[in-house]
Amino acid sequence: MRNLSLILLGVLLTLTQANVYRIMAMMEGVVPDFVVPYLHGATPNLVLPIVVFLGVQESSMGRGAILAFCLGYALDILADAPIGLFSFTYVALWWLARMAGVRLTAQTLLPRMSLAFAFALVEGLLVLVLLAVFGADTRRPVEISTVLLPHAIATALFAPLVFRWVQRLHSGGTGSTRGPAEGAS
Amino acid sequence: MGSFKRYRDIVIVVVLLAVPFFFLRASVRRPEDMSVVDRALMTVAAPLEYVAAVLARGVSRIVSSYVYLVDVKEDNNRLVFENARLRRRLRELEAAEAENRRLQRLLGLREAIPDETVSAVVVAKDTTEYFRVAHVVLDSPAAGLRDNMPVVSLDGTVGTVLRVAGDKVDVQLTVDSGFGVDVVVERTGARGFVRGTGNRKRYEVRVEYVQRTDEIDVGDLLLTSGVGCRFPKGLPVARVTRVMRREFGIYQEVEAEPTVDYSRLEEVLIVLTDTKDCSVTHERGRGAR
Repeated sequence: MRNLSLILLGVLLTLTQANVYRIMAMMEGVVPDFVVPYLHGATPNLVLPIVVFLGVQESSMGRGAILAFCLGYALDILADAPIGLFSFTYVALWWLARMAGVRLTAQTLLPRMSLAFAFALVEGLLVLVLLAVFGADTRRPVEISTVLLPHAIATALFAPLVFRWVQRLHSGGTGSTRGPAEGAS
Repeated sequence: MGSFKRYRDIVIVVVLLAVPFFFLRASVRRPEDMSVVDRALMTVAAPLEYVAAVLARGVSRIVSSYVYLVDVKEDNNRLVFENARLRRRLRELEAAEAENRRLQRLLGLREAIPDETVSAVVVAKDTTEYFRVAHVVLDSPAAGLRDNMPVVSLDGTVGTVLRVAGDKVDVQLTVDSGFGVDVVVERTGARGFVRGTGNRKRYEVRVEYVQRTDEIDVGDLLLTSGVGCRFPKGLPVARVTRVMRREFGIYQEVEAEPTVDYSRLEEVLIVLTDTKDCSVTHERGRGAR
């Protein structure tokens, strides 16, 4: 039930992410003119914090990997990405977060935002490398590189909110979680 | 038991990394080739995306209404109540008139295009930063819909069909770096090839293969040439925003802004053309993802 609710949250956030452009269009009329050019590159990745959270907090290795894969696959389907791109990237990021999670904590606002920022950058780099290696369009990786920073900043801004929701679901409403170091054998 | 669980978990992680990596190469080269499971999930996802779009549109309207109300309140400080009420009424009438005009133009466009068309509503766009793709849902079921068919709107070309899953269609936008279409300059008849740039900061395209001697200027309208049998001839694609003519070389460097405002795109028409005899242009214009 907990796993299903995490996947459903992931799908819900992906659908939300797909409609962010409407808000961006509306914000164009509200924000100062010099901010407008940066709005288009600033769609946050709302699912990434879930994967990072699972890497840092989920004690079961198998469950964490499967959940990360499902979230990546859902994004592959909903985002029209080449099938396998985000499935692979998210499992890799989850693994990376798990490795880092032994030393890092993600309990307060600043570490959460920093984690999300760093992992959003790594995600972008992974996608960039995979498309550079496998894709035939040489321009796309170069173009992707220009949005890495605004994308990471936007993801970091929304990450604390997503972390809080995931923590609630993950702990079944109690708010307490176990780290990977405790659960890893 | 503990050691078995550990090895089982390691195997799961390795498999979950290896399987998508294995499929990724083929999927990047030919995104339209999907498995039955992928296609089924896309079909299932379509109504979810539709509902999300409806909700998002509702929320946008509420927020917009709030912003407008704040504006009206500010106006009330300066103007009498009656004046404000009349202005609001005028805005409503103008909106209705604009919508009426837009629908009439859509109807006119549909009649102007010689091929059969099917209308669709945009439900999502630019889910990730990396691909400039819009998701649309057909208003009514259409037979024979397949990838690479042209998608147009009132203001011009929108893109081409990337994937089809039931009533849900993914559209590669003109501004995506994998997109390309042959164009002519409306004023001079000079030829060029429009390619998306994928620039996230603004919607823009590059016009390639415009010869140095060809006459082209800022503000010129670029229309589809009809070459390649994909897009009907004469549809607006973009308006030239920058021309850089060098002293030497074969081509000039030209940038343009699409005639379609993608941030406010709601309705599109998919032109059901037959592109099976145009495989060369297909490959040229499509690029790879």
